[in-house]
Amino acid sequence: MNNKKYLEMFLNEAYEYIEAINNALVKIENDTDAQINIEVIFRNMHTLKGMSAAMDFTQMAEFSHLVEDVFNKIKSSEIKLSTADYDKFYGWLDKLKEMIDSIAKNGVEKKQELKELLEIKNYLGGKKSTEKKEENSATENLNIQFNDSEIKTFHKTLDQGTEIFKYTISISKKAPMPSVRIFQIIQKLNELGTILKTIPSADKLEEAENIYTFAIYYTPNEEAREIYRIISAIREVDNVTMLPISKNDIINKKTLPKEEVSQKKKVIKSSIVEPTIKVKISHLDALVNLIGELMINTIRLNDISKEFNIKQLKDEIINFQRVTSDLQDRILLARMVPVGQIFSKYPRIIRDLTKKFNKEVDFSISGNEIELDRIILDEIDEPLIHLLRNAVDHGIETPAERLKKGKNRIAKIELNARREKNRVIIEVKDDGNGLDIKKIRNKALHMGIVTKEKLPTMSRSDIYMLVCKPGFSTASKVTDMSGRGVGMDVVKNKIDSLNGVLRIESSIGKGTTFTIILPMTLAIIQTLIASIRGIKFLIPIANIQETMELKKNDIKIVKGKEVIFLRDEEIVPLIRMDELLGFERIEEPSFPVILVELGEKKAGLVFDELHSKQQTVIKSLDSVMKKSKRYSGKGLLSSGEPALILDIAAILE
Amino acid sequence: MNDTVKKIRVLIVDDAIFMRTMIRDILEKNGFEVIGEASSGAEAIEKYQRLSPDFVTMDIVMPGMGGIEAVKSIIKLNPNAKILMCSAMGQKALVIEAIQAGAKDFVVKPFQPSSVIEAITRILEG
Repeated sequence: MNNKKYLEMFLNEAYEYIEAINNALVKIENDTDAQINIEVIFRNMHTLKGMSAAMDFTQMAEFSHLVEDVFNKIKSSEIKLSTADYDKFYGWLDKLKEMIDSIAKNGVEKKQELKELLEIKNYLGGKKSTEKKEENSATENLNIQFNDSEIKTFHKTLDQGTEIFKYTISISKKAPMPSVRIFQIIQKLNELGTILKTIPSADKLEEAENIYTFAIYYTPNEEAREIYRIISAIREVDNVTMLPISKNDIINKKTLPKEEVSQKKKVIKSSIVEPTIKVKISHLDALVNLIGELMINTIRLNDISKEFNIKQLKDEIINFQRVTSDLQDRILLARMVPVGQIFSKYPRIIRDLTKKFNKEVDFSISGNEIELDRIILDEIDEPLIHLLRNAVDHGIETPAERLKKGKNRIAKIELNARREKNRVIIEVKDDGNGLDIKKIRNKALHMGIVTKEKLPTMSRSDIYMLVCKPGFSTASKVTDMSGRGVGMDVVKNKIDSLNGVLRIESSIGKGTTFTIILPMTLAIIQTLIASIRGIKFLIPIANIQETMELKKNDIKIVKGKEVIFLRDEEIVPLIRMDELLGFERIEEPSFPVILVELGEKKAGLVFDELHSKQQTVIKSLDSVMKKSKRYSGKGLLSSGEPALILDIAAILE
Repeated sequence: MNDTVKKIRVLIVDDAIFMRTMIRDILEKNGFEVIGEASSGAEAIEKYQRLSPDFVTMDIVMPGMGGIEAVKSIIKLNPNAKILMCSAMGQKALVIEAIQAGAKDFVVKPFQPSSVIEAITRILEG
């Protein structure tokens, strides 16, 4: 079997299963729907075992098989869970994940010493799993003896003139489940005649996993040769012999009880889901690029058609544009994945963190189904983990502190996602101690991040945002005073780079909420074209608050800098884009301004001329252009010429 | 198969995409036509009714309705339904239950492509 071809699929699914198992385990530990979640773990572990065996990852198959056994025993209440068990289970899951990581890295399973295997076996209490074969006692003596009642029955049958045959049947040693095969044969024979006796006895045949040869005394309803043919035709049957039996063959004793194995299973109804397939991200990226070119083509076609003014051509182009635009929407949709894909691993992370920091947390997630562009989702994972970690470590108090304050001993941390228009909002909310604004102020002053003059002009939220300044947290043991700060600058930078916004709200004693506002996609954005000396630039519409035409005397000077007064109250700095981008500064009597905003920051950007809006497929910059830091990427104009996309976050810095 | 132009139409039931793909490849390489895939027992029954396949490969343990319930329901719909169980190790009791319910044969993961094909061929021959 060509395993390489399946490897990617195997890895994707294996990670999903591990995550599902982790989450189920967290739920069991929190005592939510334990029975259902034990079943989930058992089932997923079972699938994992099957998959890894199919890939010939024998160690992983053995490992997952043993863990499945454990959960099978938990399911059937043979094992009672104690709180000490969970750390063990999580350890096993981590080991399994490590094995998958190693397979992902090496493409093959690297056999290793696994102390966990012994641990699991010990845990199972030496009672090893169901199908580990004991190598001895493989075949029993088939010339077994008869008890009195059997002799009676056999003799009576023969006296009535009914023939008895002894079939000796051998199953292939390669058969994976010989006992099931034997069961199948016996079931077939029961349909076609009467079984008088089996050797070994029927109960042994059903229980043992090491019997490959057995004999049956049988009175067929059909031609004896036909029975022979039917048994021989069953798969994995190696050899069948048939012997007519006479009274002389039947001597001495043995008993035969008989019963059927049957296992009742609980059935949970499930709804039918729409089938899905997995697609490589590179395919989707290629599609986005192609649709980008197609979009440019439609614009150009449109321009050309204007020159010729042919009605049919115009109509067709309108149609063409509509389909192209639908196609674009569909492709963007295909890149969207539910945030649940990354959220689903957080319960386990929170669980480990609460153990580590001796906190107690009720962690809840909402909005798993909200969709985000795959790339953004991947990028936001790390910042979210950071925020969650901070929430557990610094945000919330220990149970003792909480009780002292009259709060519920178990702290709450919420992770919420929701959609607002074309943005996705992700919230990390805790009911901990909140940020101490005074201490942040002092700290910032002390560190020289802000001046004494500036502080009074800053809003509450401006001050909270100071914790995102580089070095704010690392300088001293800041976490004790502010409650926050570990790597917040990294979090903020990442969100900025995604064209997102971070907001912090806090209330002392009550808790803190970090809100991340993200665009749904990064691949194609709405842009406004603006030019300087005839050179066109693209500005993301998402950053634009409004555009306006200003006159020279609208400009005021505050502290030596050009500003404008927005609706007579808000002071917004003006940025001469020609100067900033290295052109000669020219001052016209009237000029267009684009008011951009990002988080709390705003500025008016002065251009020579504003043009139309367009959908732009973002392409990355080569390394030379990346260094300039004013541009976040490039896109194609309808002329086919490339244009630079302004990085508003960098410009506002 | 054989000389017939018409391919045997198969429905694959397994909750793991990975397993479904692997079985699909084995079948398609051997001239079968996979007309549908299902990831749960309920979906299997729905697709069996809608697509009436010639043959079904059935996983046993699946979320929601498992393979055994699905076999029972399908056999109720069509007593001659040809179903091959695809089991993992350690499911003896379940495989037996499936065979009692009317499944024709079983293969055990990890399976050799040849044993899957042999099992199917034998079932179809009857």
